[in-house]
Amino acid sequence: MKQLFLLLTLLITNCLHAQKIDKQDFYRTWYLDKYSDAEEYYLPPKKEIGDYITLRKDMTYEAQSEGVLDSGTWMLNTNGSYLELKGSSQETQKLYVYFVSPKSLVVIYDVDEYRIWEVHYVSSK
Amino acid sequence: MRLNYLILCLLPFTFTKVFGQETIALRPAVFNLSTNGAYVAAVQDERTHRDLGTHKNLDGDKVTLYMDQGAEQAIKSFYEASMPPRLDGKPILIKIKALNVQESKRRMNGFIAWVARAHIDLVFLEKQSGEWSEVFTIKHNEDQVFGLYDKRSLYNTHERRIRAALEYCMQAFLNTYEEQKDLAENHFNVSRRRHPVEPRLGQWFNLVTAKALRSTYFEGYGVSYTGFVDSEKGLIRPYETSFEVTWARPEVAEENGFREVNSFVFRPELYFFYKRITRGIYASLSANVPVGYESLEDLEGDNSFNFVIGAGASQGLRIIPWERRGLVIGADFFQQFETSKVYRFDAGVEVVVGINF
Repeated sequence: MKQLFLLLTLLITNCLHAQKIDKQDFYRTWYLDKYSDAEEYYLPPKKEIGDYITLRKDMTYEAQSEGVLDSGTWMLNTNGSYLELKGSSQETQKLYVYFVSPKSLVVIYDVDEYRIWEVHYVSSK
Repeated sequence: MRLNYLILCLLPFTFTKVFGQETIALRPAVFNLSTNGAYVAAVQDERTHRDLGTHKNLDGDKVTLYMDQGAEQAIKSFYEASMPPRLDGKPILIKIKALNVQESKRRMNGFIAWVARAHIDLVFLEKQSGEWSEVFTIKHNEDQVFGLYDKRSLYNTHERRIRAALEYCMQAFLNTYEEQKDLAENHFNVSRRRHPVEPRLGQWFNLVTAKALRSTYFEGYGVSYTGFVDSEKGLIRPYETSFEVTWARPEVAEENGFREVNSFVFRPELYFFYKRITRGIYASLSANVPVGYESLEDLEGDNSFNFVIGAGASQGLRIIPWERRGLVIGADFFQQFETSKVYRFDAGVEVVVGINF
């Protein structure tokens, strides 16, 4: 039973990876909703409440991360299924996209400390 | 005729390293581009070696990877799917200066992880008064990190990182080359001096070493495993686990009222750095927390145990003359505070001998 469950999970994950993503899917404001790992969901810590990313059609973005505002440009790499954000410091951040729908966005930040968390955003509070 | 036959028979012996071959076929994946009609008319492969690199496949055999249909045709078809040639379009020629896939390991959150890279170096040319002339060059790395036990995912996704790299380069080219009036700023304008694109992932070194140490109060032996990624610039942060067995020198034990003092210590690193001085020579610096226990036998023959914890530091050198596999030698000075029954502060030297692979 456990193996079957694992197989199902694998199949689902594969489906998610196969999802064809399009730039237009991202043009909105995404509010940080929760984190998850393989087992559970977690609420964001206090200082991250209200964090969001607004991805605009002109390929600029505005984001609030741990209460700090930043803005810059973004791109979508369809083949690599990732978003790349370039902030005001000119440093780039890579976000692997695991799932996107009009209401929800699930990404993994490509940073050592956060790589084990899936980050869930929603498009309305 | 006979000579030909002889040469044919000898051929396998003349090349000592011939690996099997595997090909990587790019999945036809369309991506959205805002282009004014540029299309890839031709691709020229200018690499001296036409392969993508030699790696262990999932069966553990070393194989040389190639692009299915060759890099020129594969890349042309890949771009054609998203940018179909148009009669009124602008033909572009792409020259491949580098294209390969790499694998290495690195330290991540105190553990070791796999890291994979697709490296690409492309030159874009357009026709100006009948001659091809260079309009854009780009070097790009697609790096991805995998768990130490997730080699399968790493190997299976080389193809995807190549596609991602090709897409990245084309987006960067079109953003720079064609005027994008609706864009506020070019995302791909990055200072390459501040963010250089390293063509190669650092080589991962495994060191297994034994050490003999002698200090004011103790002497003994230890074994360590050290893993690190070589880097010419900056500090290297190795991963290390080590175990030590030491004993108080006889006269020191007696002075403190013991017949025998043995100590067993692990040494988790708080801060641990290597700095490459020159090829094969590294300076090392560490701050660590020795944790373990002492077994004590007093002059009456009674045994007791003592938990030890402390703070240690060391400064040393490692010499690794052969990069692939071979000998490692080194020496360290060390100092430590410990909750030992014999001392509070101890300092000494250690000599290190081992292998790298």
